[in-house]
Amino acid sequence: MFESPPPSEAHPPPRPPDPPDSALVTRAQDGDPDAFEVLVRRHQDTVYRIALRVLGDEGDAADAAQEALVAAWHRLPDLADPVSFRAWLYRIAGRRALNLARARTPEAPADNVEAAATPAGPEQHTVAGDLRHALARALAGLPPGQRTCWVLRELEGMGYEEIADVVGAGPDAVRGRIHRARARLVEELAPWR
Amino acid sequence: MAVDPVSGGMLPCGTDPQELAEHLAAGEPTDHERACPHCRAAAAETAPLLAARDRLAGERVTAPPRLLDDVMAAVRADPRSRRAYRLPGEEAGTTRVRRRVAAALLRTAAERVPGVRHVRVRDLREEADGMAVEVAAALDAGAPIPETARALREAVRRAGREGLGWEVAVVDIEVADVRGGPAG
Repeated sequence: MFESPPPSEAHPPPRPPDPPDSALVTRAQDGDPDAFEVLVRRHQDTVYRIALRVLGDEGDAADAAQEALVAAWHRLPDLADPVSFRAWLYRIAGRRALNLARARTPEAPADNVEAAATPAGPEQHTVAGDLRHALARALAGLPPGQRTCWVLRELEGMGYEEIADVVGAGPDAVRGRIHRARARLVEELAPWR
Repeated sequence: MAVDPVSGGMLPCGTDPQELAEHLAAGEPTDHERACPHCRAAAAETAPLLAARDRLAGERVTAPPRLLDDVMAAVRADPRSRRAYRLPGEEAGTTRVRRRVAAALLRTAAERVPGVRHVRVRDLREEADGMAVEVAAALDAGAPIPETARALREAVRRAGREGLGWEVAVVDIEVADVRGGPAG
């Protein structure tokens, strides 16, 4: 009555093959690396993609993604709500990528400094016709803070508050950066109108 | 011409270009923005960016194959993965439990306490007078915190004693969150 009956042969209990993130997070918080490995397998592509979009370089993105995932393991005992793991991890990824991007561009640390990149000239456009590569090039010319805000908003769909937490600025500053980034990108892509 | 991001000037129709850009980026222009020639002209300027963005966002990106191995090598080398605690006992041979086993046992006991929603074991230390356990807890809203903390502490001590043979000297509790309520 009070004990659950032993599972009968005819009706094996359904075993959910994929435990939810939150259950794995709880086990990983206890110190179970196998549980964490499942989480890494689930989320590594997105973590890497965020880093790649922010950094624009595969080697740097791999470094930032690795740093972010290892940092997540170390900081996991601080995560209060296991259900929020995914958003929490992606914020760490954005932050690590931005830090590395800033380290890579010491000459223009401030976001209000006009980036040195010259607008793509017509000769660069001839090969192109390729809008997507033109965007990648234009993104590379943005200051890291602007680029990160735009990427997280427009490619990853994060909210202003979340991005503010990643970049360490207020939501209004984030909104301004996205707007400035958008204006620059619109200019850079003007030849495709 | 292009939207000036600095002046904050409005379009001739009175539309804030920043708001227009946000509506277009979200794919949700207002009825006015759909119909107004000024807004449509501004939208035409933004169109290549949105097309390029959608193309980039639609690309599938896969993590490099080494990433998982590199991450897990670091994770498995970390003390939280490797640490094992020796259990007290007089008989020949030693018994050791992994950190994750001890933490799960203490956590499960703590989470059975009424009013306790979720517990994280943040630290387990062997000290001179016994084990020191540090936990962070999320409690149900409305649960009386002093009584709940006392019951949680006692549950951890009892689970340590009965489940592991530990003398738990100290249970430090941080109430990190209060959520929902008894029903939610």
